[in-house]
Amino acid sequence: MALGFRGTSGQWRHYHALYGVLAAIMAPLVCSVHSIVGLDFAGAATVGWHSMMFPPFFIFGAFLSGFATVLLLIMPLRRLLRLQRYITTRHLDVLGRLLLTSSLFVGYAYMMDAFSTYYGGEKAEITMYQEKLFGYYAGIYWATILFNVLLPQLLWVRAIRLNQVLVGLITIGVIVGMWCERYTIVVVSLHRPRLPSSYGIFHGTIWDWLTMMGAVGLFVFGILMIVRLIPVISMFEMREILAPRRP
Amino acid sequence: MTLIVASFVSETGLAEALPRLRTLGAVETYTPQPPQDDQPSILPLVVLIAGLLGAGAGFGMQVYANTAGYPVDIGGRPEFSWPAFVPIAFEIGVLAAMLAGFSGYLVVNRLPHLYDKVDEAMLMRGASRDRWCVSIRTGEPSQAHDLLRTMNAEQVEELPE
Repeated sequence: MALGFRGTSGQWRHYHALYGVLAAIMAPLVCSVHSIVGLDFAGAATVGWHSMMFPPFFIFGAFLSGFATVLLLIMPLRRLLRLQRYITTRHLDVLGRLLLTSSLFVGYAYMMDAFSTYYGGEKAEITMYQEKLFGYYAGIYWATILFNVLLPQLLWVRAIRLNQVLVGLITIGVIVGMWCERYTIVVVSLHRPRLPSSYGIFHGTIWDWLTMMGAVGLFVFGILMIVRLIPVISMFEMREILAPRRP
Repeated sequence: MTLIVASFVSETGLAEALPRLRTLGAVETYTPQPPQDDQPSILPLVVLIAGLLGAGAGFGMQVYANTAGYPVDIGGRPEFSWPAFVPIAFEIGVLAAMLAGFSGYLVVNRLPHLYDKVDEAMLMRGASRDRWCVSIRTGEPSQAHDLLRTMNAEQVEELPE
């Protein structure tokens, strides 16, 4: 699997150079991937999607669900693989703070979404927004607010950030909340479009739910296979960090 | 010619021995973490060029498709709507840069290289853990042995060819 990587001087030298360059490319790529998904929505003249906010809004959402997923995965992994010395509670603490910060970003995006709708005053937008707040799907919207904005505020307290059971529950909440957010964006926006003749209610069929569970299963399968086959922590980098500390 | 493999317990031990070993033959190091090395790599330049070429090609492809290949009047917008071409040009540039970086790495290091004589040395098992190994291909094995002994090599192993 290493294709003949033996740690020769040339292999290390090119590896180091390439590693830095690819990492520098990845960072803007992450932003571009998510903002372009947002742009694809915003490009349509559909009620609820046609918003300048969408590209950054999607990046905020990606940060939030990303930190939540990472936290949720590493807490059991570090126990099962006995990595507590390498993934310390300090890492969990910092990830908790990042989760809280991105939750505030997302909260800001929700506020601006409401503000621009009512300040803009377009009738179709306001109709859809009223429906979102108080209509058939109101539960989904308020669940989004609860799980993505209100629940992570518990992380202001250090004792909660260090309580792994509570952090686990909060991250599961955030993942559910992010799903609700996407459901709001796609389904709720489309159930009150501009043409009243197109109003409608959507329910997922069994196949929709099974497809979603299949996607989750595929993700879990991928993670478990990688954990099984590849060292989950880069060993030589750990040596570089830890070696100077050992006399 | 004989292949001699030696292991050192520290990076400094290996680094001190290297200049004198190089006078005896072809030397290669095998280390558990990147050695101190100030030589530049060509790969960042390769990645930059590939990225720019890819971005240019992606942009050009869209210009061709929208102005010459299959021009469509979309709401009266100009056919050469360059801002709309930027995201795809960027992504194709990133794709080209990544592929060039990965394949360039294999090319400059001549990988995959699944078997090497040096793999038969028992000492190489430590090279990915905590031993700093060096291999030397030389016509004067006894001199190399003497030198390695004076340089405090931990273990020395000889592989006849």
